[in-house]
Amino acid sequence: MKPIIEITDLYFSYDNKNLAINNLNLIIYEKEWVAILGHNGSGKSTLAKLLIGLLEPLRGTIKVNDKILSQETVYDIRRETGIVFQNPDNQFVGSTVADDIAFGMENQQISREEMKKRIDKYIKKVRMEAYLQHEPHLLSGGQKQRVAIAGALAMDTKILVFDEATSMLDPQGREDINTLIQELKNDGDKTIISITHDIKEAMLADRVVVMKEGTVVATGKPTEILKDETLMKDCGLDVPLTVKLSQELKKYNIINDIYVNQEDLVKSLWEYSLIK
Amino acid sequence: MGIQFDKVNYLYARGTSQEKAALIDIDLNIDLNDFIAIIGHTGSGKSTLIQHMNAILQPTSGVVKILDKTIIGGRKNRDINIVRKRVGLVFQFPEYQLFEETVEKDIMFGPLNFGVTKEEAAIKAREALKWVGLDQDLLQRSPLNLSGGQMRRVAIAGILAMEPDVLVLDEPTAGLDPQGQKEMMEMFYNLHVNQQKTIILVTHDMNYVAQYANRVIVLNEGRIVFDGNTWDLFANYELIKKYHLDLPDITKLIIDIENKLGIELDHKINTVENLAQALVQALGGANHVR
Repeated sequence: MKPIIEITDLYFSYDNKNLAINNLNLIIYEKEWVAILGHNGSGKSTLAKLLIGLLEPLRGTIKVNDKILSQETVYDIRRETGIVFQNPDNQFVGSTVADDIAFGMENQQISREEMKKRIDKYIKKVRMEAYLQHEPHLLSGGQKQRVAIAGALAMDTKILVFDEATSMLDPQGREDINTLIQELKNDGDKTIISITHDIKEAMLADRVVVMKEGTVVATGKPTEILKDETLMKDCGLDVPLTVKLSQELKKYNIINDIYVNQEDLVKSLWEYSLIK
Repeated sequence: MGIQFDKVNYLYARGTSQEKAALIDIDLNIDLNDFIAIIGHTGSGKSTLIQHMNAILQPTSGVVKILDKTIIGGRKNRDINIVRKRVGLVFQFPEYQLFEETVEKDIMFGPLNFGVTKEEAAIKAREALKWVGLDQDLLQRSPLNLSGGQMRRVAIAGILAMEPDVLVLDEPTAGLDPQGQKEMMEMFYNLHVNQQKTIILVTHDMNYVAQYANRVIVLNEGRIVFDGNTWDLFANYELIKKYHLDLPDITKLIIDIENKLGIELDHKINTVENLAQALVQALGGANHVR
């Protein structure tokens, strides 16, 4: 696996007193889906802003595709990284859905023909083709986020960052976006970074990175990280219900393992019921 | 005496081509001291319904009685301001509405509007800050320099300082992290138990409905399609399926286990401890061999 983002000894402060990012080191590999988990204030969104050069680090380096992020390279690097923000209402500029998707491309002097092609392709990808001429502000939260994703996809970047993109949506909207991220992952040509505190969302990723007080405190497979109750609680997060039930059942020797995945837990119970 | 809706209808954009019935024939009786959840999909009328509960919206037709105040649809109703003191409505993302220079001034704003003296308002601000679990040190800070969770608590304190009997909450946990959500829900539960507040909670999270609400109201396209006991709702699969409602995580897990193992469990179980015990029993006792 080839690293696509390499973050070394990164520091950042909003007020020159408290460190929002405090000695953070992280490597993200090409085409993996990484979920960055942490409570509000742990520094995850600050990290996202540093990644796309909206904020400048105090110290340390961010390398994207072998280029060190700096004032000279920031525009190049933004062409590699698309981002979808948390609040669906704060990221629209166009008067129609189509205009809005075109906006980012206009800034990159992409030909009109190519723009049309991409709008057509990605509006279908997010299943919003019926809304091309609609005004963005009349859409539901989930629909707005889908349009924002189409806009990010149209930029044809290698990396996509979802900065708590589902946290303001209703369950249906959340599911739609998570399904879409899974599809993008399965298409296999994007590196996906989703910043979240939703455990269900983190469970879908290839790898989970847990942040606390501006630094990475753990990283690993979702099934390993999410069952670590001490770690999760310590980071202001919760463990899945399956983990809690596993712990209880272990006390009765009904199962031997702690399961993150519901299917695995139920299967283990079923096996027990057969031998009993 | 609580809140009553009698054949309430509400039309949006009346008389225009966009006219839409947001509430249709709503009959509803809310008793004081209850903890009620209102659920339904986006656009089902939840926000419109709760805005009638403190007369921010008034019915197109029908009658809403809020405590001792009667609001008649299609008429100009006078002196309804007092209702807003007694029924506190906390909007979604209430922290966006903080505007004063200090936390103290922001919390005092409501009480001052209802004519209490500055001294009294300051006392109420201190009390309210205690109820939302924030430190008194924050009083002189700018609300805009607090964390998101703290800002939301300050906004809620501003409502509590008016000492409402009823607290109506529109998705109060949206956007908070898991720990923040849990603390927020515990805070409302405490206000319910210790301050005898009536809580009306609009939420998408069925886990909270299962954990805290005694009664659930389900809205669909402007109509009430279920009004009753929380666990009667979650046991009513036809209704759950028909309106595409979600079940609490624990109920989903119970059903999964039942289907795979071919056993029957009590669907009203709502803690992992009880579920584990029920499983031990269903599977013939704890295993001492393994």
